[in-house]
Amino acid sequence: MELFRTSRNVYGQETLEGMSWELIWVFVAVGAAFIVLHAAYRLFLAPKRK
Amino acid sequence: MNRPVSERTSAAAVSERIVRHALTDRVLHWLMAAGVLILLGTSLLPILGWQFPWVTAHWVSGFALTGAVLFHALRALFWKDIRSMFIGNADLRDVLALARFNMRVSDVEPRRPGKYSPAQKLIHHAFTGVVLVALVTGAIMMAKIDTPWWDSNQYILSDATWGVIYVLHGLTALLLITMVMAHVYFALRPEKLLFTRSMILGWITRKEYRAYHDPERWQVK
Repeated sequence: MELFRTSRNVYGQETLEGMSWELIWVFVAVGAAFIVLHAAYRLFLAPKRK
Repeated sequence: MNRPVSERTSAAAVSERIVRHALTDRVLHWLMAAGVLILLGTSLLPILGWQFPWVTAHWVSGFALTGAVLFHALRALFWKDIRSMFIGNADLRDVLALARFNMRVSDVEPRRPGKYSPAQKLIHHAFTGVVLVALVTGAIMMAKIDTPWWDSNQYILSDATWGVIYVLHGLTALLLITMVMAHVYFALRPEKLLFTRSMILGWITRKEYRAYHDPERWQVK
């Protein structure tokens, strides 16, 4: 998986085009994983407040 | 029949409302939320295969969001108590106490926060930083499109500099995906619904105020 999109300009030099859009699903997955892990922690492990 | 004093006090605490967010702040919050969602939709949906003329909707939304952010910043600076959003030593102590309590190192419950908890301040500041980078890089990218006010000119920056601008703008979009997911998740958690209600209707009850806030750290009339 690439981190960046690149292209070559008219002089043949590699230039940055931006972030790789394959990463959209990585960031969605990180968000989903955080939500599931936090919800599970709060449900099963977190100490209860009085 | 007269009810006992304690019962009357309790009933009053449930029904008495304390303003947590003024109407102006709530309107600004939802305008900025709509702006961020429209910007994410008009930038990411075409990448995911839903083709539509997105450019005009994207930069017009960016302009609107910039206006809302500027108004919010001016309002926070001159009309609101901006210190309520500062992260200070007391917040750091609260975070440590919360971590120790949650990891069962200590049985001592963390102190209740003032108007905003450290977590609320952190997500606000994260959104501030990411959205500001998105708006500044987006404003620079406006040089590349025709608008009613100027014609496009892609030669104001070198290819390498444009590349950095694109990377930063794209990175903010990616970060906002995760941040919006987390923000919505916390807004919908049962124990946080009172804060979501206060961002819609403006108020919390005095009972909720006593349960979730330290009256010494957030003093209300």
